[in-house]
Amino acid sequence: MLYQKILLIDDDEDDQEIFLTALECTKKPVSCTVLDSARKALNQIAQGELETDLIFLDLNMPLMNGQQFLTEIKKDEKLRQIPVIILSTSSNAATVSQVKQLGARYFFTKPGRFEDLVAILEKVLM
Amino acid sequence: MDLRKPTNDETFHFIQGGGEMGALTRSFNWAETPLGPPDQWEQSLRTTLGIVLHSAFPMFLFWGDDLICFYNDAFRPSLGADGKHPALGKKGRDVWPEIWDFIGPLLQKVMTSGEPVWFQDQLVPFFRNGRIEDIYWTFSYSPVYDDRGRINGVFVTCTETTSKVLVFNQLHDSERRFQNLVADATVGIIVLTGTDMIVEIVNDAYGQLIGRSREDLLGKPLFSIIPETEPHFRSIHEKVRTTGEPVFLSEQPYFVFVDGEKKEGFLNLVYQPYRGGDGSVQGVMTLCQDVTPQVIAKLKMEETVDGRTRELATANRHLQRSNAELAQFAYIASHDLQEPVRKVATFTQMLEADLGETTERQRHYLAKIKNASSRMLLLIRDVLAFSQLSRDSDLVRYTDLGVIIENIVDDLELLIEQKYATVTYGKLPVVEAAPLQMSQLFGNLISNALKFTRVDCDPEISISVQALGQDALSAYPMLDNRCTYYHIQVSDNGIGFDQHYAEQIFEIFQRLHGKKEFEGTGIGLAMCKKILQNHHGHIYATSEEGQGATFHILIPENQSCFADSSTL
Repeated sequence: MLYQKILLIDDDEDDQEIFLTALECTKKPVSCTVLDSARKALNQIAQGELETDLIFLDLNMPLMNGQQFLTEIKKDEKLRQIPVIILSTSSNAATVSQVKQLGARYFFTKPGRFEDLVAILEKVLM
Repeated sequence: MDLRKPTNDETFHFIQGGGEMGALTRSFNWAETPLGPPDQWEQSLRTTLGIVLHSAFPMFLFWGDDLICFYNDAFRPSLGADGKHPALGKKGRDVWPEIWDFIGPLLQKVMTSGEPVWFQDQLVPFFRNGRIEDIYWTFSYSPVYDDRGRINGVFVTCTETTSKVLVFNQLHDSERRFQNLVADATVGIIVLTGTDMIVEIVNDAYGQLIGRSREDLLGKPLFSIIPETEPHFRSIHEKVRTTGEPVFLSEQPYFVFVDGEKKEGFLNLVYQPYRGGDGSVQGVMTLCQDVTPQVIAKLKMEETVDGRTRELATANRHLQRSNAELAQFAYIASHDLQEPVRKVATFTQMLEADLGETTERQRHYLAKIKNASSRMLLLIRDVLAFSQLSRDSDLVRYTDLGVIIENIVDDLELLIEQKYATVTYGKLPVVEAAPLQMSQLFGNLISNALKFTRVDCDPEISISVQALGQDALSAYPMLDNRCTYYHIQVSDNGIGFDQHYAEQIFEIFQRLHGKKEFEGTGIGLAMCKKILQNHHGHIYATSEEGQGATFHILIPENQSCFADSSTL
């Protein structure tokens, strides 16, 4: 089991609910923290208040967007080791290319089918 | 008869010599004339006749009431051949009948008044050389007195000036023709001489240009009449006069004041040195053509063209803005629309899972909601992608198509595994292209190949490439034969399609299958076509139903040869 403590950063409550339900469906023994703000997440991780070994990150969020969060976390020698998976509404190729350059491990467009999200999580948490 | 030696020296002691006419005079039988024999002639006649015959200047003498004629050798040529010669001893009226009306009264006047008469270059036509000729004379008639103090003769000194007059007349004609040429010319002509630039020749056309008459100008310094033109035109005159080189000016603006009002226009001007008889430059001849209407028409046209160009640029800006706004609208609309639809779809699925036991009717309704929402989501995503194709965010650069395809295969790994598909490709070229659009192009084609599969065999997708030779290139008139193209083929062993639809499949929203059979929006291949258009390439498909399909991509190696018509 590669990952045990995962973090979801998404300001959309519906998507938080969908994500947690899909995670439940995978029956993977992981603990998941949900935060609705990238800034809050960055602070907590940087100050050691929050430990995580995998981050699911939304892009379009107020105050600090996903790209800014990614940029910040890659600046820190230790934190940059944490893999980041983008889970965004966007499917814009330019955005995909941008976040990959910023160091995102994978990019997934939030799927329209629930099963697809479950499949994604199963594959990632394998 | 020996004409050189007088036969009657005793009788003609007063006329020795005298040439042919002297000899003729001596041999003439004067006894039968009213003058009688020479020994009876008055002294004044003898003296005068001696002067006449001994003169080298043409002279003639009328004597007595009958105006008997005498003349000398110098006069002789004026009588020509086949004419009046010899007129010696004949009566004046008999010798000169054709001009007697003119000279008769003159002789009479001299004889009665004693006043001499003088004519210069007088036309006196008479018979000689077998016809009446126009002959010009400068001559004088003087009275000759006899021994009793009475006027009894008229002494004529004369010179024929016909050739001089004819040359003068020719010169005069030539001068008049030149004057007419200048006067009638439709271009303005003016000749200025000397450092004061005195108007020596000028025509009406020139006068009209500056609103003056010829009389106003002739003989005066030009710049004293139109000083307002001096600052601009004086230096040109001086340059031509000092260098002797002509100057040509086109569409030159000028203005003059005519009765206080400004008259302005445009002239084509030719300045030429005006040379005197010795070839030295004495002044400047200027030819001026009024081109004001043409220049004004040209300026108006340029103004119109400028105006149109500005209108076009404005329209173009509006169009670009409108296009950008439209693309922005499509982007925002589709981006924001997909959010709620995705949630409807997802929560429906979650609801279904949560419901557990459901009735058939419930399952039917849930399926309807799921299908409709997922289809709407697909549509929105594809419209979004299509709308973004025309955005300029993606720059063209050297793009390794091998890397592009490797990434796509990576991204599609799940699907490839699920379908038990194999994707094979060899070495792919590096081309100048927009990398994201290349991803979309090959992504769409490979996704299609994974979608339209047959149930009886595992999908096999192969990608091959070859450079397009000149011969092959000529088969594609839409391509530019100055560029190097690659021919990339994406082949599958799927269901294929009837070749009849080979063009239709590239039209937006065109589908060959029902929505239930295969998911899709009919946008993917339209995107591929647009991407190839963006890259000055071409895409087409070949297939046979049930036999797989091959998509042919013709893409230029470089975009730089289309620098003038970039659509990216």
